[in-house]
Amino acid sequence: MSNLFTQIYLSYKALFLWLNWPGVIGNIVARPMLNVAMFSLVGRFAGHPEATQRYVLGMALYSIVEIVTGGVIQSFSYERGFGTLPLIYCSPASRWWIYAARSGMHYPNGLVCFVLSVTFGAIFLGFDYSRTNWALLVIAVIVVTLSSSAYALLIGNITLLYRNWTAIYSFAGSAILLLTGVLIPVSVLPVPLQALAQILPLTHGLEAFRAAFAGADITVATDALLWEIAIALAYGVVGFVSFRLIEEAARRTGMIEAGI
Amino acid sequence: MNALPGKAGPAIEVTELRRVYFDNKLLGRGRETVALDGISFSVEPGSVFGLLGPNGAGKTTTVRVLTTLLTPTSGQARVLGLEVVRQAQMLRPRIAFIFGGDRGLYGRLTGSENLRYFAALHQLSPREAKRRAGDLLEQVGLSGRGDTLVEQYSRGMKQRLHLARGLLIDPEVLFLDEPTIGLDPAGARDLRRLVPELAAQGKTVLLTTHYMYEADAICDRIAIINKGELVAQGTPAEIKSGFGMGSVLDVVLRQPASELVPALEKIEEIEYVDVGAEGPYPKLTILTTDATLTRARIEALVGETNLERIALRAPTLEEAYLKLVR
Repeated sequence: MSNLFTQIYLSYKALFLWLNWPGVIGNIVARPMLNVAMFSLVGRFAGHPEATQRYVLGMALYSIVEIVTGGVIQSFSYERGFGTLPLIYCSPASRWWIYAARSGMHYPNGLVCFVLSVTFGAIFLGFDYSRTNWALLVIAVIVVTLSSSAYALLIGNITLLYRNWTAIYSFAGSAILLLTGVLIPVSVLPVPLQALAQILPLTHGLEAFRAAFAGADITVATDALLWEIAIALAYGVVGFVSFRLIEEAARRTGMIEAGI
Repeated sequence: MNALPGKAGPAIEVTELRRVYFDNKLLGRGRETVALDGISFSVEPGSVFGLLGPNGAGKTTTVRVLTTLLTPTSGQARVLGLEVVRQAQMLRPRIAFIFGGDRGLYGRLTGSENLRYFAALHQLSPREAKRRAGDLLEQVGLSGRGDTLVEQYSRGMKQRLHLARGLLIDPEVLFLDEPTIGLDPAGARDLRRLVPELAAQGKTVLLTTHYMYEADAICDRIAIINKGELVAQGTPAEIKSGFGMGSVLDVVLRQPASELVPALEKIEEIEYVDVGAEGPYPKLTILTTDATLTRARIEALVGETNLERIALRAPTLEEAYLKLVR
């Protein structure tokens, strides 16, 4: 276990620049603040004051998905850039352990970003949390964190086969942002996209999260939570199975040793 | 540097190994490049084996296959008796590889942190990792620089750290891909001293290099690859003297004789002519299959008054290599 923590700390320090105050302030504090500011303005210009709350809360939860997914995808690509990917895949380390190490520090980042977004909503926009069902909210956040981790596992794996991580990240991130109800309600999407939204992470977790904010009882959101858990499991299983298949494919195509 | 007696089977065994790369197109496969075209060789345990060849010959591809990073298109490769594709998981804890250059290290970590990180990947306990890192930094001449960020290291220091990383797990087989690239003369000399010591400890070392004197000095056996094919293998002495190499004439002239080279190249028994200098005098190095006849022809072409010195000697490894890859 101590090896896992060594890997978590050192891989994060090696690959990302956030272990310093300017990095932390820029990524974890300034970003949620700017998100809150931007979407409050978008809501105001849209002419619907309630839209501001919808956008800000949606973006708060989305920040977890964005940070975890982006962090894992980038870590694979940065390893390729440093030329260390062959050394990792030549090692006997469990691939699951390697993945866990690379996502480890992104969970607290995502959660801090989420908490600050919600806090800034209260401070600057006067969001009222008095009716919030906090237990349901915490469960929804945990479940979304799990489902986004599983999603990141699958997508991060795919970057082993392709050098262009930004395209994969943009596609993966945009699909979540556009289709899961963060900004646009799922019900107004074309029917095929509504169906696609049902199998993406965040869609159901966000529904439970909004219900928690509105003060709903946990029984109201049980189905949504169970769906989100099922999606987390499905992505997790596919991601785990894909470890070996994608690694074998990368060894066949020579992509493990390929540079950026 | 001799193979250890009593060990069963070769440490590395490559049979008809072939690797083809394809340029992936949007629709189907594009141009194919044959990186390895059916090479075979074996390496005895506890020996140093050199893989030589020009850029793009297939040396690094061979190392990538043997270190489980690349799947061969066909043929078979075994390291320590383990098949590199199907038994990769069993093989990985027993081998290490080191490549030359700046890549393969984390610049934002210190030298010690890099070693601790790779030790964690190889499941060494933190206490063992710390002990090994300290010992190895000292062994490669980086003691006192372990707490410096690697991005502040010189290229030579990075190369030393690569070596320390490779030795972290005390591997049975060590692959060195151009390990002295970027090393200063002292660092390169230290490494050339270290490699035979590792072999004496029973480790098998496969190294690729462009430096012929390096291969000549430290390798027990050598294989030369050109365009994906194995063109020669044997001890350095066998490569130098065998394969119909002939002999070398060093011809020192008193006057420049630029018109002489094309005339010499037309002579049937002359394999190649290199033009150099010895002090103020022009010097021709001529590889020939018939030294007596060539000497007579040169004396006739040059004339006694323009001939400072002519000497016969055996080819160096570099000359043998150039003949084989040209």
